[in-house]
Amino acid sequence: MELRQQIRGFVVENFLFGDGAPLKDDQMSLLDNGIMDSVGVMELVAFLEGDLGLGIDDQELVPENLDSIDNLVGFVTRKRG
Amino acid sequence: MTVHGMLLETAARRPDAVALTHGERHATYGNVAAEAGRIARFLRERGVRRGDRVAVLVENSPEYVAAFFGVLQAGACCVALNHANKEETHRALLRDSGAVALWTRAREARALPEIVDGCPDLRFAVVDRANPGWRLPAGLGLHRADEAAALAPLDGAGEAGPDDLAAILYTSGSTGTPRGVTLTHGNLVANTGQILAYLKLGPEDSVCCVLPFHYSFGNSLLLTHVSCGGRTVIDNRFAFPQQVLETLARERCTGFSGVPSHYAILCARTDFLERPHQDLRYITQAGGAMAPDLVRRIRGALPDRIAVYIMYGQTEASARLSWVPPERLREKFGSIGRGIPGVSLTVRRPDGSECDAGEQGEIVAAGPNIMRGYWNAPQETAEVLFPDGLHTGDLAYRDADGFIFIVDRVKNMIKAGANRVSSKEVEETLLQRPEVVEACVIGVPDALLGEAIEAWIVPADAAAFDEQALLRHCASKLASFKIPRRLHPVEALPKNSSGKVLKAELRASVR
Repeated sequence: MELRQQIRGFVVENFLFGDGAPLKDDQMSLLDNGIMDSVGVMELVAFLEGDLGLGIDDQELVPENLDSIDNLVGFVTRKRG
Repeated sequence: MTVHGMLLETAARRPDAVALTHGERHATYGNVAAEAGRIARFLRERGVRRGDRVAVLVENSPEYVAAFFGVLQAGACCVALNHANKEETHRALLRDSGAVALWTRAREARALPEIVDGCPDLRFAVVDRANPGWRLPAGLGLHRADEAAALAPLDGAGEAGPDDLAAILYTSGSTGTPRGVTLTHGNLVANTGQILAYLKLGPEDSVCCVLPFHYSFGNSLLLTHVSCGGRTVIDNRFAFPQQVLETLARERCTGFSGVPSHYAILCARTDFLERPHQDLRYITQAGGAMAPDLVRRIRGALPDRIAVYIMYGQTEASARLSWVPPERLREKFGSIGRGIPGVSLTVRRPDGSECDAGEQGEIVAAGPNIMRGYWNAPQETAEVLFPDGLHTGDLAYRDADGFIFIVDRVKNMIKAGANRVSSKEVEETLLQRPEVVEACVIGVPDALLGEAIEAWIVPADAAAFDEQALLRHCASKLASFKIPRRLHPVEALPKNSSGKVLKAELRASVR
């Protein structure tokens, strides 16, 4: 599955319970729009580490890496690069 | 003394000292008092009077603080709403409190028309900017916050006195609908003094605040620092905990306060325990029992010069009831400590007599910080307030030194992170759907949250049961922290002979 689809799928499945409508575009902030909360960030990190097999450093837990679909795709791509 | 009187007094004494830091913004005591005074005048000019309730729906920020103190200076009582709640909950609380005005911002009240719909007592709302698409109920006034900016601050502390209500803090109740805990100026001022007496905060102190001000623990951080002239450093981005630690270091905070899940996340996903923390003088923890192993780990890793305060409290007690003196923490792991100065905290038998050491009973609290009662709920008030004090619903015993250890809670409450969640409220939400025949909601132990919400469901048609659809329904009705983390579809719930669901059996099944 394409990476963007996989990440989007996780967010929609786990934070929006299957209804992707509130996720209007891939730039929108997941936190500011109430899609993800602080516990959600921990679930997201578990997904990135578990399902995508990334090693994530504590210093990398920043909005620039995690707070939108675009940021997530960019972050994972850089990590894998 | 009144709550806003504490701000006015500090502003007169230290007008140029920084009261609040939020990102790049710094507000001095002079600024905050002037801003609050303008809001007070604005509200008075629009007919707000002593004893009225004014709701504030604003995330932690200098705007929240100004609105909170402005409402009090106007003589009214502040009803601080949790922005994580859904429109339906906001509306229910506006109605229940009979708020005459709502002070908010477009970012917290995107769906303002839904929030204010059907609130007969509400006369006007104030926002930072109005959305031209809003269609508000006829007769409801809409004002912009900058109308207040042009006014001169109201002089003096106004009419409210120590016995007037200062705040209604809504908290989950055993009935499923949130209950308003009514706190007077006298309650909040007393608890502020009690906390200062053991934390010994001074004007050189600054706390890194990640707790919302609408929550009694967050409110107590604000009030103690305002009272002593210290600084509250606001950081609402705990979702990125490493960044909060950067704030803590950059702003040279002397204190940090959190609930167990904050410390669990800090220990799991940041270098909190390895940092030098040059300016940090103490940390405090309340808001539910923190696993003794985690307390041990934190105490063991942080330098001894950083005091670790383990505390206990309830919204019904303004905030704080007990503390473990830091120098005794190592010998009292697992204890909530003893009553703070000015609070009598005892463990009692059902007949009201005091338990012997080692004997289990209910924690009963008395002191000037105990609430007046639940708003408009005499029956529920009578169930917890007795001549000997507040019956907390927590089962505990005390040791020979008088240190209290909590064993269990009497009421059906789940403590998920900082939030007290009523199982009943979640069960009622699940049962709104026709595909749910029976539902039982419990808290199961969770490393990060303390307890996580899980629901056992008896579906009408197991084959057609759509878990995601049911969770979407919950998400449309409940704040995110109340949504069950897991649903367990089952054929039947385990029950005793009288039909009562055996929650302990469900809890044991997930271990």
